[in-house]
Amino acid sequence: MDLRAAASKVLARASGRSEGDLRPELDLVADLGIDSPKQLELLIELEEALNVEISDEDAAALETVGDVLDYAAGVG
Amino acid sequence: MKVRGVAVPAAAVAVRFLSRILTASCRLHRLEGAAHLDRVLEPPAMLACWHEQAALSVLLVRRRLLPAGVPLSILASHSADGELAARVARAWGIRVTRGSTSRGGREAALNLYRELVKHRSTLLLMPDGPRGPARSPKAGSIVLAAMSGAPIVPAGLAASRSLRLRSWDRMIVGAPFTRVAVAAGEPIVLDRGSTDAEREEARLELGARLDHLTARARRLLA
Repeated sequence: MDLRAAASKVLARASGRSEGDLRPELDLVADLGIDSPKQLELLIELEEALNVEISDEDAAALETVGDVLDYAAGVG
Repeated sequence: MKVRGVAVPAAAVAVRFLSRILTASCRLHRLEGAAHLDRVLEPPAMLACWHEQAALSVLLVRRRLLPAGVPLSILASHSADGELAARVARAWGIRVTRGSTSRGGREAALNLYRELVKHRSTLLLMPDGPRGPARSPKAGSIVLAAMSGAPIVPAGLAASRSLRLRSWDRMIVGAPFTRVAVAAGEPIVLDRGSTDAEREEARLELGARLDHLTARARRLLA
């Protein structure tokens, strides 16, 4: 599985949406309702799925679905 | 009194000195639930008390946890007070993660998770910290427990003679030669499969246990 697809699965699990519903422009908080505790869970699962340690700067910049998928693609 | 800027390093030295005197002169009068407390000697684990009892918890840290060689971690805010706490903690060999709910909280919590899982630390957790509101556990504590599988061991601490600071948490500072009582309770354990409702229940339960154990510690001093 490529890393973008792995991140998509993590996002779907965190948001309770299907992967097909996850449009890049959707905001993690405002549109997907991923509140602060869920964001922590998302980051932990992303680190494990991508096998990386996400820096504070990168973590702070993840605001939309597109941000997360682009970050995952960049890891590869 | 607020400590700011260049005064922080000097204040940190003073606080280290004073806390050494205070912890040397304080007596651990009663410890209830020692078996529960011993669980934090097997990291990863979390020892939780209300933020108001952070200064009293230094007695536990210096008398039981540091001598046991347990790797310890704490969260300190980016404020000057947080810097003061961080300097004192680092001087004792405690690893410090900086952040708060208003600034870098998500990233700080992620670092705390790594401390638990990758560094196999025992986390000294003040679930209403680092900036309050007092006596209201944050959900992040529960997510850390669920994702790491580390138990949260709740504890209440009380001192026979103390004063309260004018900080948001009205922090308790024990007087020299005071008696301190500690009541530790049944750990709270969650797993990754726990539902949102179970986690909220655990958050409320953690708050209730900390209140109960704090009251119990006060009674132990009577």
